[in-house]
Amino acid sequence: MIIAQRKSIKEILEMLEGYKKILILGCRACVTVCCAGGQKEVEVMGSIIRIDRKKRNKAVETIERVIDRQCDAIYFSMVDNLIQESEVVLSLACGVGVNMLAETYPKKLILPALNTGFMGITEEQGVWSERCIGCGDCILGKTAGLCPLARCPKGLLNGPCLGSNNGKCEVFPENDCVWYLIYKRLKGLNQLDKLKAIIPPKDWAKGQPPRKIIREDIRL
Amino acid sequence: MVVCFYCYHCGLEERDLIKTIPSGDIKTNRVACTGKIDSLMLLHALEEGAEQIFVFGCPEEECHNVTGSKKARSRIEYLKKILMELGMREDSVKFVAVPRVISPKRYKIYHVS
Repeated sequence: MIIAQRKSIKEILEMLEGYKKILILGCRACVTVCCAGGQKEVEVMGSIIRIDRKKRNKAVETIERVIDRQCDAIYFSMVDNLIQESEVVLSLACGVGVNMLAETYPKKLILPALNTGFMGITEEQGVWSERCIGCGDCILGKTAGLCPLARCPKGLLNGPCLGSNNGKCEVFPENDCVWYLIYKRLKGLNQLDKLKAIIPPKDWAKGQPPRKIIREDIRL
Repeated sequence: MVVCFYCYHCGLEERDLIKTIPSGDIKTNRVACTGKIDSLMLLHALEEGAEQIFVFGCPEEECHNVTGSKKARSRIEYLKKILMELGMREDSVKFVAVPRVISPKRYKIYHVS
């Protein structure tokens, strides 16, 4: 899923300065799971904005809603009238959702409340870490399902480096060395010979934005 | 206004709170465990005009639900950061650990963070 986190309150309040009718729009997809833009975070944001305005004796009306996904314009129909009525939409979705809103409502000011981080996993409640960089040319079949590009700070395709120490990373010693993990997994799978194959340099053009996938077979 | 949240399991009753807090305007909320308290509840209290919020809960090592007090503390710390960013007093929200004793006469507040 996409992991995001809230921008500083100062930055959000500065963006909203002067606007009196604000729609705070959350998303029930990834940002709900990573506790950045779901129902609760929308309510917290609304409360923060109201407290700030009350403190400064400035009027504000906040409307709080959450839709299933902001990366899919079809769900905007549920809040279309609220978007039209409000002066500004504060989106608690990832950057994709903010883009989708901006493209769908060209005359409406859309502001982001989150900084979009990365594609990752939930390690434990409150801890998320990166697992995929979306390079467009997956090599996980060669690396026992563990991505060295996402987890090795040096991005080594043929590791480990000489800094790997007792299974720990040289750059971030608190992290496991992903190449050590790859070795352990391949050994367990009895596929250590895969390490003998040199992975060639990647074609980074496949990860060059803006990317697009078109499936003619499912287009309407 | 002073708003108090207090844990069902710590050695406090509403009448004790009213005696403890030197303020005429006090609102008390009993919760099943301070682990139930989140930043939204506290923000709503501030929105309603609370100048000071106290969260009375069990000491961390005595929490009836094991991790409730710890969770409450970490959520209060998170809220303090929000208050700082809002330019408000961060000590307007305090966690007060109250030993788990049955008799209200025996309790003493021994830690104020």
